[in-house]
Amino acid sequence: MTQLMRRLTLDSVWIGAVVVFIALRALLTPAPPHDLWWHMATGRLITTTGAIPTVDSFSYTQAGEVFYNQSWLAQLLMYGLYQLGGLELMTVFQAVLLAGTYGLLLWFCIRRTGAIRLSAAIILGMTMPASFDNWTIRPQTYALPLFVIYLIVLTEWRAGRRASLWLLPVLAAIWVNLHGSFVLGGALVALAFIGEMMSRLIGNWREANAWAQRPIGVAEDVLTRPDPPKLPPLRELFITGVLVGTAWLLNPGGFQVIGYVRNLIGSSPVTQIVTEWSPMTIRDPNGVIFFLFVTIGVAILAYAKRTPNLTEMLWTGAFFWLALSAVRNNIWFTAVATPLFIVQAASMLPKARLARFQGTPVLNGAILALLSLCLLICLPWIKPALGLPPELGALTSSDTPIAGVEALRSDPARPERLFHDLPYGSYLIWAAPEQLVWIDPRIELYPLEQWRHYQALSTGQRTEELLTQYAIDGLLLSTTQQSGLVEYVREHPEQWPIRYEDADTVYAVKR
Amino acid sequence: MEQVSSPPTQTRVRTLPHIRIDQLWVLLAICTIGAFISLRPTLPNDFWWHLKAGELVATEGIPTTNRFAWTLPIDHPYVYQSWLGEYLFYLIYQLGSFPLVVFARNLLGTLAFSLVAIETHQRTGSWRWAAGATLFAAAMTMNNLTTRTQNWSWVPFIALFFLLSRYVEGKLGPRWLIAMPLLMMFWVNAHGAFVMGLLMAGAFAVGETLRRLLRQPRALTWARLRALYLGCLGMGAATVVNPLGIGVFTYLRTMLGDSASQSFIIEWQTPNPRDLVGAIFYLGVLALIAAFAFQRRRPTITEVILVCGLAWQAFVGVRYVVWFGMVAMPLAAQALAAPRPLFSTAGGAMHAIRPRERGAGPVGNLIAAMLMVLMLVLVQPWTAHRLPWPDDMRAQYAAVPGAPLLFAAPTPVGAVEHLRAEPCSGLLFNEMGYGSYMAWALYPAAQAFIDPRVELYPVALWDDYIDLNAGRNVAAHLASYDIGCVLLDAPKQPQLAAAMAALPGWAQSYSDGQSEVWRRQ
Repeated sequence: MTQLMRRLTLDSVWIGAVVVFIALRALLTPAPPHDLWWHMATGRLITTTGAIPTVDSFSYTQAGEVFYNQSWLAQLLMYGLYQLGGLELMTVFQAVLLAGTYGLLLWFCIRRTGAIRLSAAIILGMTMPASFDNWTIRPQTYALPLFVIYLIVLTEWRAGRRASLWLLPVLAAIWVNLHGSFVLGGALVALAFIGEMMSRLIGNWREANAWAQRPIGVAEDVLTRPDPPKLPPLRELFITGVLVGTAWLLNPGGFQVIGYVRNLIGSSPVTQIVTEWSPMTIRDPNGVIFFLFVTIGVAILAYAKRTPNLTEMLWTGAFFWLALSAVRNNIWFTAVATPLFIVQAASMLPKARLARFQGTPVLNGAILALLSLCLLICLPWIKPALGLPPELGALTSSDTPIAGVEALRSDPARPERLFHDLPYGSYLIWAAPEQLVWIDPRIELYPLEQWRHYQALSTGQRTEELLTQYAIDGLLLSTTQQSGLVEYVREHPEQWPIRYEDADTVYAVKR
Repeated sequence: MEQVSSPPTQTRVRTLPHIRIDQLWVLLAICTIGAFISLRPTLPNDFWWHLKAGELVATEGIPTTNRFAWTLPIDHPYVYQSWLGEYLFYLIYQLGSFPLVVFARNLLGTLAFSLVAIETHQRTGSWRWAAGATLFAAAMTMNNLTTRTQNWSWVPFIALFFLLSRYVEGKLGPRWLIAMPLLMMFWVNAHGAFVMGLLMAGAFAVGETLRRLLRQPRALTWARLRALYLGCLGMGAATVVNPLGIGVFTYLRTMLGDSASQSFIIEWQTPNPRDLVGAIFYLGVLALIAAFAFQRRRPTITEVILVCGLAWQAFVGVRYVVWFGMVAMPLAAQALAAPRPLFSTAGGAMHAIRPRERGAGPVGNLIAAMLMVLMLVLVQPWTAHRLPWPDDMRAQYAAVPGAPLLFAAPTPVGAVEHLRAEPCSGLLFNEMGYGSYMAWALYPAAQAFIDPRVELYPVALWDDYIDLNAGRNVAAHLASYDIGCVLLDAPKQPQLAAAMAALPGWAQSYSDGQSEVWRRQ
């Protein structure tokens, strides 16, 4: 008991706060439909058919078109979790995964700096706000721990602890079947190789220069020339990189996976239309947080009392660029930049850190107990009883058309060619698999023209022309995202009678 | 008798000016930037209506109402905050027509970036660093070099930075700070970016005070800080020396909070890394981060406040990138360049240690320098059009009479001439930039639907304008505004052009590949 009380320091409260707040954020975020339902539906399809689908079977606009289903393992995991414990279990899994991932990052930063409170404060105050927009239930989140492990293993290798390098190809074999971000693991290895090679070249050049400019006339100077620093051999990293690349082939499509990634990155016109793939902007609250993160980082780098590691700077620079080009990528940038900023900020702290105030064990224990209680009552099985507003208390976000789809399913004269909101497509694939969709969040499946038509139709432009062109006979619309088309429907009650309506959704069928 | 020889007479030998190879680098950078600025076609948007406003200032005094557009009452209030910049452009126009106005832009741009080079040299002691930093700063602003009243802000901005930097370094005495209010008296009347001067002076005052309080090395003494505070106060007081008095800040607040500008104008959007200029800006940010991280000289608190503040502004809107580039690149170069001793420990010997580089020798270097300057002279408005440019290059310019190779192709010279010859029988809808040219070339005979005075028009009008641009509900919108003629930019408004072609009751009366005029039958 005394031992336990001794461990209840203020430092442990800081660590507990990081883990709990991250878990709370995940527990209190209703799941958006975009990348949840269609992935689960694919997991269900794989389970029932015993095969990974290779063509589209969810839409009527691209039915039969080749579709590379790269994230099959994540889809099976999602579906399996759902089967085990529904969306509640998936939410808890998400919270554990995120708390574990950022807990790992925190451990890594503390290990490098010894600065517990600084590490916790930066993760809570900077990393968490800059990342949490991306913490939704989807395959990308499952890839995040792998990314952080790559980061840690490569940093440890640089520090001379080489034992765990073998882990990278093993993780690559899993990652390539989980999510398209597997290439980022390869990027980390490649940039580490370049950074380490440059560091060695610059170090050798500096040493040779210093040696050439030494005072002459010292006879025994050859004996005093310092030995070159012992660094891990680069060939290890090179071989690891090759093995990681080889491990990428351990997927059902083999080399096709590379083509898939190229296609995804190359469909730039589409990526400009879809918000999540559009460049970071300060006009958006998340953009403000992102640029604030960068600005504070610049100030930290400017005042740090040590020169940063070149590899870490290369990682940060490359992932900064990636984050600028698409909102969804900022999660990777914050993960690589956090250790750099913490290590640099720690160099500004006074050395005597241990003598600081640790609080009283009783009070610390009480705070930790309170945090644990918060965690407990926010579990998905308990939180409905708290009467929280839907933005915190619901399991699914308001753009999940549960009632609208129910109304559609119970309609005896259902439309065959339904037009709907984009995230609705994802939910329809799951909840009404017999109802083929017009579009859904698989951005690379649909051609640019169809995306443009989606934009036009949703805003009520070229309405009649496009409705005719696609022979649309039913509409399941979001009142907020498709207000232009909703207005058109209301103006044409004879042609488009509304069969169901609530605050978020309108369902109408052509007469 | 022995003849006494007279002492040899001292003959003065004339020598060529010594131009070192590193000085050639910076000269090459400045001449390249100057030539680039000189060849940038002037877009119609922010030029013609300002020139017309300058004419009104010269003939009637500073205007205070709408004037150029029919969609608002003629006496609808509008603030011509840049009246002095407009007036100066008009004076220059009267002196030497359009070529002299564009030359003024070229001169201001070249001078401003020369000051960036000098500032970088002051901070690094290296002309090579100066060349690199200046080129990088200029590259960031390559789409911000059109002729407009913002040109009048370039030199005051960098001059203020130069002045305050030297003051903080102790190279200039307090009396030089008198220039701050004098500069502001001009700036506050010439362009809205005068507020950048206030922010910069504020950043220096705050940063230097913090340095003093933290007892950092070479922090200013309280006496010098007091002089700086006085300079800042004087500068603040000088902002009221304008026709609006203190009301200029209300105007600024309105302007910055104007939702139409913030939503519809690309210049006010966050730089996009997917386009060239956005990519160069973010490369500059990366360069700055790397420079601060691998610094050989630690930036001061003032410098970090300045850079972070200007970077934040640049993240807010593309139009602010120019200020970030002018300040951040010298600071990045300073962080990376070898530390420069403030005082020589070896007297004059310090300079002797450094070997002089001559490149091709005095004659060769001088010839190279003259060639660079000649290149810059040749691309000036009076001679540039005589050079054998490829057709693609010439196609970027409009054929403005008396001003070849100066104005951008989307200047509706022919279409407006057509409208002058055959006036529209009703009201006219026009592309936004065309509205600017109409203010110069058609007003008061005809007025525009909309023009680049974005904050003047209500958001509802902009919504209709965007609808028409996109070819949506064209017939309904044209009917609701009772429009008789449409003047459109075919490459910029293809959907509207297509809609007009399909619209019954309308006929095209003019087309030159760029501009089209449609009339209601």
